[in-house]
Amino acid sequence: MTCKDIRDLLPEIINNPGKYPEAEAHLQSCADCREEFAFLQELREGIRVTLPDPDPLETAIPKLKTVRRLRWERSRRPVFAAVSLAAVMALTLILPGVFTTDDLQFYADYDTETEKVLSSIDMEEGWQISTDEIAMYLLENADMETIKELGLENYQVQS
Amino acid sequence: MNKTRKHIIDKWIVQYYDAVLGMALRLTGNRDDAEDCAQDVFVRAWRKFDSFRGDSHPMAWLKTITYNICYNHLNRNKSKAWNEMDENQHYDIPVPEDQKRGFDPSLLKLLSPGEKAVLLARIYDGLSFREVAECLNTTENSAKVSYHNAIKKLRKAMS
Repeated sequence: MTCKDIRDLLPEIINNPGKYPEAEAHLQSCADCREEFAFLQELREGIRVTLPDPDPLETAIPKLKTVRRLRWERSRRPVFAAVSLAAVMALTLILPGVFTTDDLQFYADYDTETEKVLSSIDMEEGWQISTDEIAMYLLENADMETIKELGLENYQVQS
Repeated sequence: MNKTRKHIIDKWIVQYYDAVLGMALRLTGNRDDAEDCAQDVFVRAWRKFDSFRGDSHPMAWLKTITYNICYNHLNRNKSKAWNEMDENQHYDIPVPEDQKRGFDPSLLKLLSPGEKAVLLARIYDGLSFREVAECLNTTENSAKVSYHNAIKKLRKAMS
């Protein structure tokens, strides 16, 4: 392998140490490649520290916006999709324990911290996730099997 | 199929949204733009679900979509991206000077959209040159040239 090949491969060596023994051996013997490798490690660490992934607690609102956008996209389809993630998450808050399928339990369990945030943003201006609205949406659009699955047959609209 | 796809995409939003938004933030340097891009990623994943190969990791597929969407976004908004960004504005988390380790996010402003995308894809998100080239609608050789240009510029700026 030439130095040029090794330099193309340096990100793989950083991300998968031990997977490229021949290239790593080259680094031991080539000061220039070793120096570039050290620079890339420094760069990667700098990016990790200064530009990390967001905290999940900060992303509840954009997640829900994404879900709403998808719900809107789906609603444009001939086959009307009924249950959205937003609906399930919100229903989890008001009807804990009613979900029995693996899929729905996943949402019910997924992140209690996010649930706290969701409940706290219910009243935020411009971001009202009305449980009534969601329940009505489901009653109007979901099939009977889904409504029964969610325990909504006798749901009473609160407001 | 439609219902299955819907459930899978909803799960992906819960599982991978933060990572997708993190990538978009690093690429765009702007919270609003990053959230728009992240939203587009899941909408495209939903629309193009049939092209997802079930034997690969969903995040690997979402990464390629994210890079493609963000790169196109950067090209459309060349004058805006990063210029508005105060280096730590992302999360309003002050980064201690001793943790920056020589790297400052504003240095990414020195790079063209292609250089920045290839650099981040290679050293941070572990995409191969072939994958990056596909995301950026370019050739592998061109991606390599952009990558080495980016390294050269940053080395000079950080020296």
